[in-house]
Amino acid sequence: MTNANSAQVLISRFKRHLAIGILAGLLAACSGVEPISYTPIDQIPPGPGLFSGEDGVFTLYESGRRDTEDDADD
Amino acid sequence: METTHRSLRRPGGAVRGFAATAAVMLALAGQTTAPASAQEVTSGNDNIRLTLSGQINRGLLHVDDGSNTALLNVDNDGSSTRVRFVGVGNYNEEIAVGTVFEVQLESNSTGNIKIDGSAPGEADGFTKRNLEIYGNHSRFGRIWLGHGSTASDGTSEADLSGTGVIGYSSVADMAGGIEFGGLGVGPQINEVFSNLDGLSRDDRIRYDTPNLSGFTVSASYADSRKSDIALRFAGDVGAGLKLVGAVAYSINGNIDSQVNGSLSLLHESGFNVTAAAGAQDLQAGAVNPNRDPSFWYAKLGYLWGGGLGDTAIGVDYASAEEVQDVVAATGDEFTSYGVFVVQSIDRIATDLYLGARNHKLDRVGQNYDDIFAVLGGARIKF
Repeated sequence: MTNANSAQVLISRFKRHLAIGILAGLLAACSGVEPISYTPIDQIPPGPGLFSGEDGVFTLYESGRRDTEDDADD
Repeated sequence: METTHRSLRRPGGAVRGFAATAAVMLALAGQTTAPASAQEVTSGNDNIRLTLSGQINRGLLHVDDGSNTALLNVDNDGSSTRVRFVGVGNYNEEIAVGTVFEVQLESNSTGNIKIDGSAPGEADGFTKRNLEIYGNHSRFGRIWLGHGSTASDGTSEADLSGTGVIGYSSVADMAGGIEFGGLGVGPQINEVFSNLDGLSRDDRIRYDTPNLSGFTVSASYADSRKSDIALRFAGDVGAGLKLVGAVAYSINGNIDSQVNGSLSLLHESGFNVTAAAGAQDLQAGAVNPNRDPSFWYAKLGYLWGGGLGDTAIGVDYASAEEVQDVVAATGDEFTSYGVFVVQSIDRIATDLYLGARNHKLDRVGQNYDDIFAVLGGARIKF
């Protein structure tokens, strides 16, 4: 087997193990977990804003109480 | 005029300038029943909220393609300049509806700009991200309709490292438009690398389950017979470990199907590790179906808090094969490695960042020089 072929085999195995690791990690996480809030990195990060202050958003209008979750992160 | 609902208009300042826009947004959402003016925003609907947020992310990009070097003023496509309106109306304690209007405004996007400073296809740099409505039930989940993230969008990009603004699995975001071999010679970086991040954003209908012990399942259908399903997790798994991850399967019409995923672990000590991988199975609709596109990515990092805010450092490595849909790409091997530092300054809602990345393409019959890029800048959330 050439060095190039050996390298390809190693990379292929690494990818397979990586995929298995991702799945195993997710499944292992099933037991005794505490959900956390996570903002995808392509979204505006949480936290205060320079002008908007602690909320991190300008509340342009608000009426009544907030009974349900109103985040729109996807 | 109904006066039972309070106005949050504040005298002077930026909020007044947004008032007219707020009125338009409320009208579009069909929620305005009382006259609104630029002076006062009111609504006859109870339990509604309209917010505005956004960020500006600018930097200087130094690139060296082996033939030329350049220093370019750019907008960091990894976390682009944008503005976002979110409107939410509560029907009752369980049901809410919402609107999301988010656009990005990039001048000289790092994803497009070439070494001569031109940014073809950018036009005015104004592009849509989210133009959508949703309905949410606290027990049954959420349905989205419109242009936004498909179920699989972001599933290659789980990342708790704190360096995501400058380096994450989409490694082509730093200097995506730069071409191997010099201007107009070889392929662009973003043509030979992809993190196979599902179906990205599209016009779709999407469903998300409620969060079940940190897990969420999503599915969506987009035009041109695109569909996908994804499983996400975000939780504290004990032993001082936070974990986020996702896996997805998507079908892109008769062009390809793909499996991809990512995982990121952050220990309370600050050490973190992130990995992602994906592979495509091409169908007859691809230009060159005789390829096996795939990628993998790994990052090690360390994150710690300080007086200013968090400091994060990281190193990463990425590899992709046969991504570009052209005949010449058969046998392509792309590799990249980078090093990054991000300093958050909480008091002014700013992330300062600096990163360097090398890009290498091995293509049959070609001998391209590596492309080296350094990007430094600031993201200010306003």
